[in-house]
Amino acid sequence: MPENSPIEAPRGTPESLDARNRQQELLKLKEQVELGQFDTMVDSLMGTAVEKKDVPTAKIDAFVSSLDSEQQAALGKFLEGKPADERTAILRTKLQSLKSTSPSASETVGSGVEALSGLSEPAQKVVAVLDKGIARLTAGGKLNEIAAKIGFKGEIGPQQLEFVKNFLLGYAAKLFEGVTGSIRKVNPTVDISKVLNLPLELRLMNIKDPVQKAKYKAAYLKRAKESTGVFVAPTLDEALNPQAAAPAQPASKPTETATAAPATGERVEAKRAIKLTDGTIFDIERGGDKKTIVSAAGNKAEVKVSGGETLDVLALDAKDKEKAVVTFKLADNRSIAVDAETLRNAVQKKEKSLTTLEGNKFELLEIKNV
Amino acid sequence: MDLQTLSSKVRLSRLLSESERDYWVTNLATMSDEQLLKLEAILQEAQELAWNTSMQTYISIANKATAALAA
Repeated sequence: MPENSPIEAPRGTPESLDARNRQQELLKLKEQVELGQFDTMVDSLMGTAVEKKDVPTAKIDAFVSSLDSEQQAALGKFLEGKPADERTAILRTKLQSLKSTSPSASETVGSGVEALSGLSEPAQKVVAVLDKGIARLTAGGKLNEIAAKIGFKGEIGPQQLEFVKNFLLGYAAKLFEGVTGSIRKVNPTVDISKVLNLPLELRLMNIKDPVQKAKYKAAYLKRAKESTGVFVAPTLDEALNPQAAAPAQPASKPTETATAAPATGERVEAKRAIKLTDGTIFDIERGGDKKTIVSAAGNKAEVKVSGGETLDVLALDAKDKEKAVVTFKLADNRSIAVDAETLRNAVQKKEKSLTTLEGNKFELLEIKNV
Repeated sequence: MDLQTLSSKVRLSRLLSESERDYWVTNLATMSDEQLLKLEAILQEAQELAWNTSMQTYISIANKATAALAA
């Protein structure tokens, strides 16, 4: 008999009771260790967001990169809609019944509950701990906090919370790499990527071309950031052909547009009215369409900066255009004031360079009159 | 806490099965000092159980006897 072979005292003896007590203590300790790891993960997420408000994107990217939508769906579906205790109990019962399952069963797993059928024993425990950790966070209202840190705006609904749960599961799965390492050791046939909510990089492992890989990752992270509901990962085709995959944009009216380069210069105070040199003021509501300049002759021009940023026309003198000041407001709240004469000349003569009242210059890329 | 020593204790503990030993050795690095002390205490208590010590003695004698008989 090897020196360290486990031995058990005869049942019913004081020694067996002592040994059982030690085992119980070990189980409690194990639970503490695993929940502690989960807390560390949550703290790192929360702590990062609090410490450096301008940096968390990178950290969040790292967290998001550990997501895999299919596995999110599988685990999410499994955990959804049941009280925490019940979920854990059901999970344990189900996993107990699966102990005799062939180790290679995980190779053929599908989604949802079936995805758990191939879990090795260590993985089952990981999932149970995750379940417990998520339940604690939900009860403590922390999920809402995390949802806000991740970037969800406004009211956090069930869909957003579900996303956060899956987000945490994804990150936690990565955190438990040590355990998944044990799974591989115990059963090398288990395909971890099919049974746990796996990191993005594992998905990326299937993409050999580095360019495709980079495009996929960028598309994935972009979508994760923009997601306001259930996150659906992009397909490889979508990632490689974003134009084809993007929803159709409404057609613009080219005859009413003029495109200008972004203004460079100092920031000036925003003005939200037509301001004439004689003191006459036209507010923006009277001026009509904020983005359309209407000249005395009825010419119209919609002004945009390159890159799609729209300049709002805040002020325009339609009567005394020689003396008027036109104020544009940039999307970032900067304002540019140009005298109407300059603007009129630009529109009529198609001059591309404009000088603001502060002496800063900006350039129109294209001018079209109606 | 010396993780190497504790790792050895885990490996030698009769309280644990082989997979349990793997689990604890894998997770030692992520445990807090308090948790490490607790684990060490549990293993120590288990080792000092009367049943374990007498079994240890028995196994040692049996192993020696087996070796002598084989020779």
